[in-house]
Amino acid sequence: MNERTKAVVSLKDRLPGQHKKLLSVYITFFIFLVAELVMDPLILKSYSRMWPLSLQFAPLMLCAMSQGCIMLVGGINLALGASLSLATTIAAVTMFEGTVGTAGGIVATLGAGMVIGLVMGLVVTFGRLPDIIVTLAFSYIWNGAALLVLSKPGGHIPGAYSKFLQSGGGIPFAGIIILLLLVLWKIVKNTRLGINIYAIGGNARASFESGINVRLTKILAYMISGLFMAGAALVLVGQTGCGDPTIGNAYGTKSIAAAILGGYSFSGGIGQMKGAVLGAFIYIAIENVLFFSGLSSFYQYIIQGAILIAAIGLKVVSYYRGGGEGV
Amino acid sequence: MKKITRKWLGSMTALCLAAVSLAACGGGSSNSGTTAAPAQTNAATETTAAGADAETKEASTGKEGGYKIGWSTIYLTPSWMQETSGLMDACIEKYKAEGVISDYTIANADGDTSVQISQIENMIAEGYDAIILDAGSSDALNQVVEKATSQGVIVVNFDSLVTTDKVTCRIGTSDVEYGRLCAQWLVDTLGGKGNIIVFSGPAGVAVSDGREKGAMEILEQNPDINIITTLHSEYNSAPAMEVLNPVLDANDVDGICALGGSLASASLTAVLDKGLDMIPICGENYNGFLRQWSDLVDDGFESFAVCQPNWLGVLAVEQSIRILNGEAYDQDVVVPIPSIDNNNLSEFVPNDYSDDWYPIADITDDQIKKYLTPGA
Amino acid sequence: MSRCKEWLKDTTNLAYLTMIIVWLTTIVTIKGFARLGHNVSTLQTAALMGFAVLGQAIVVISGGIDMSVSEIITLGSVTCAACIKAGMPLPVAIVLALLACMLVGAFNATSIVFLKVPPIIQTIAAGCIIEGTLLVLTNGTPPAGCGPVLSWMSKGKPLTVTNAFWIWMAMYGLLWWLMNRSKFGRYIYAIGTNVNTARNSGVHVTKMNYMIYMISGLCAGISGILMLGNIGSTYLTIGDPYQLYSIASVVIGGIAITGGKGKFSGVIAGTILTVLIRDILNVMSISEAFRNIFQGLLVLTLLLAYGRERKAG
Repeated sequence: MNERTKAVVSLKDRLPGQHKKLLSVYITFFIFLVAELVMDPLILKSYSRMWPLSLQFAPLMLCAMSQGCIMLVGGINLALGASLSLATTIAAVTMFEGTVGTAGGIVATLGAGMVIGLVMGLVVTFGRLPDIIVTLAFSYIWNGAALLVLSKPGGHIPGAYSKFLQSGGGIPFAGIIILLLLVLWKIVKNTRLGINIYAIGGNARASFESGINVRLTKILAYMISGLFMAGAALVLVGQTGCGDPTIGNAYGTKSIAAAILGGYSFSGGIGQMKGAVLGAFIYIAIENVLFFSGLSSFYQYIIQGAILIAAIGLKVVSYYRGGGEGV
Repeated sequence: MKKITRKWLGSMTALCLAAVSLAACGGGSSNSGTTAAPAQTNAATETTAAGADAETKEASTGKEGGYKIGWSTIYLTPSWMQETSGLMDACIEKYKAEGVISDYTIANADGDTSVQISQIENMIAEGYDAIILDAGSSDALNQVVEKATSQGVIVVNFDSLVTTDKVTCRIGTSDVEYGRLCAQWLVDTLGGKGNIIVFSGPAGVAVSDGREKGAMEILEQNPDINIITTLHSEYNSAPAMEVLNPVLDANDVDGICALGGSLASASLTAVLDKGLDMIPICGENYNGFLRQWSDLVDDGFESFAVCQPNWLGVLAVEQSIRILNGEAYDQDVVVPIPSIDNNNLSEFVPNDYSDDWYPIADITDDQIKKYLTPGA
Repeated sequence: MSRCKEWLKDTTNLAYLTMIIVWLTTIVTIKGFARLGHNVSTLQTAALMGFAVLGQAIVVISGGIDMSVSEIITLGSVTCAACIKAGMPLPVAIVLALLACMLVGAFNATSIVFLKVPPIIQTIAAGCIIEGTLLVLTNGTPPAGCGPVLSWMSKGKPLTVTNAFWIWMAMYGLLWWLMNRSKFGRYIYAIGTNVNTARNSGVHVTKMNYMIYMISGLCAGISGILMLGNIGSTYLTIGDPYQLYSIASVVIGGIAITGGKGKFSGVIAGTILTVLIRDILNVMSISEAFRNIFQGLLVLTLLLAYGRERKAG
């Protein structure tokens, strides 16, 4: 067997156990699903509650998927929040009334997301710099860019677009978007690109030696990540009805936490998109459950932090090799 | 063996934490004046108000058992918010004693606009009669506010205002007017010429943007006033000083148009620390700044402070009760901006509060009536 | 000539060179920057932030990262203020605050070593927990307690330059000795290069992790306490800006973010450069948007100049 086949085969060895690895995530998800159902007064009584709920969860889910892409190739994206803000401002100034206007804005935003990813990917690969510090520097740049586009919240999102996202013809549209993306990802995962992404995250050197174009793969991973991030922005502006140069700030660390809760590993090569979605769900469910329980929102941080540690302690044991090293 | 123990430990911890949050259902904490809304009993009353998405609730004069009111605020921890919250609590307690209000919850989004949107959604789901709102974003909350009002929830917005016209009522001062007053005083004091620094709050936020816009309006009308630069900082003295120091060192500054209390305080401290000559600095009724000011009055320091009155929150509470009771009201209540200058400074300092406080004259019942009665 | 090239290849030397060039440029081109008073205040800003950078550098060299720096700074600051307000004498307040911060460090180390939580996630989570705990304990209201002694400790100038700066230099000296002259320093570099190899060659990884994270906690705590002294009051988000700045300063100082490489002395250059960049951007009459953009671009430029990894891919 040549090197390439070996690398690919060892990858495929991992796949069958994927559900087992997510076991702890499923358990935690289930606990919070139950908690959410029990405590949200409307959710079991009124179907329309699904829409604001799905809009509440969707942006973080998409952000977690975006962050997950980068983590798969062994990096971390500290610029997620800033680029999200930038994307919302771009959406708010490129969307115009009417189907064509709205579609144009959507395309522009998705395109911007890919360009953002491309630029960062280029600097990381050709600059041979670690992801964490490149994305840190870029967070300032995207913040500034967002302020250039909109100096304060504003811009215009077509009313029809927001309405559609919020009550889209009887279905929780945001939820559908996520399901679609998950399906798409599953397809991508089994293509050469998908396999390469997992491979370089696991071991960049081995992948390089087995002929995978590491640079190209990484850049593409960044672009896909940018696409997910733009998707999050599109959902977010549907909820808020405007662009906002500072709205993304909180999503940065949250997306990391959600991805980790969902089973992603920092060394790269491990993680599944559905995990990211579940992780994001857990994270936000904590906020909701706390709200409905009447407990002061101050406790939210403590619980979110504690759950993060507990969840890791659980799952890291089962497949983390080499223990606690590196970023 | 070790692996299994660790795994078990981890899952037990996660389960316990989940159990804790579930168990806190009936408990709740009195930390921020929250009364635990027992989810179960409310769920029972909600089934009778069934199909909440279709039905609109009507404003009634008085309600069996009292109104359910929530305050959705973008921040709770800054001192201005704490002071406002205290004043509102006092007002709420009064109404609770009279049985007018039955439940009061504070939802703190801690800076995250998305969380604030979710919290308002949750309040709509829980069937609140009125939501008092201090908005995290001038535009981003419009949709959820419109949803609330379309479902019959009264939304009274104060301090940081939203732009939608579907909000039930807006009570506030004008950020632009704040900026104008400050800039005008500075221009007058400088005799229409000099080099100044415009010191504004964080970029990208409607409040600081509005104040800056108002200030620029006035400053641009005075060609002999040269703006060295416009600085931005969080509304806190530490980052403000860091940002200001190099600029003070690099320029001869004749005046500082500080558009925030801690910004003014930081400016004054920086000027003093560097041993520079006293220059006019306008500000806000931030106690730390007022104290520094009164210490320097004898040295000839002149200043001017505007106030974002904390009792705006009280007005919001009063207004929501009025609206729920079916009384007439104006949709937009603009309160004139109180100000302090060398003449009335002594009315505010000295006092026993900490530096992190905003001395303001209490609002009287007559004033409440005056502001909230339409056409008055 | 080749010695020159060798000297230039060292990232720390590059960092110092850049720092000196930038500094000289500012004192020549920007009015007022040559004045002693200005430079003293620059050093003060650098010192206040610099303690956190010292701690972060040690963590980074060991191959980890501390994302709880901002919250530990706040913790130190708030605990000290609360103790002073409660009437405790200053030394007791300081000790208690530092103990709290070191406790957090110990907590981080425990989780990293025994639960095998990756440092970045553990420290993010710990930061979350600290933030929540502080909110709950203070009920959102920052305590007011400082006093003239603490003020003097931070910004008093008995020797032209502020006390905080001297304390920073002293701490730096101590930690430099630890990293470069003691066996612990060798262990830390070893762990940063490859944990397993280090463990196999007899390094007591657990003990070292405790040392590393507790020192980081201690340093961040000192930052917070001196910041309290500097402005006379504190607030619950006082540490926030320093999270990113601490990481940037470490990297700009020539220390590899991946661990195991970089001279500890780089922290001084890195911190001062970060402060200089911020000062220059603030003095320029540009919009806030461009200040942000340039800050990011400058960091990237510096990184591209000397922060690159040697390996391909």
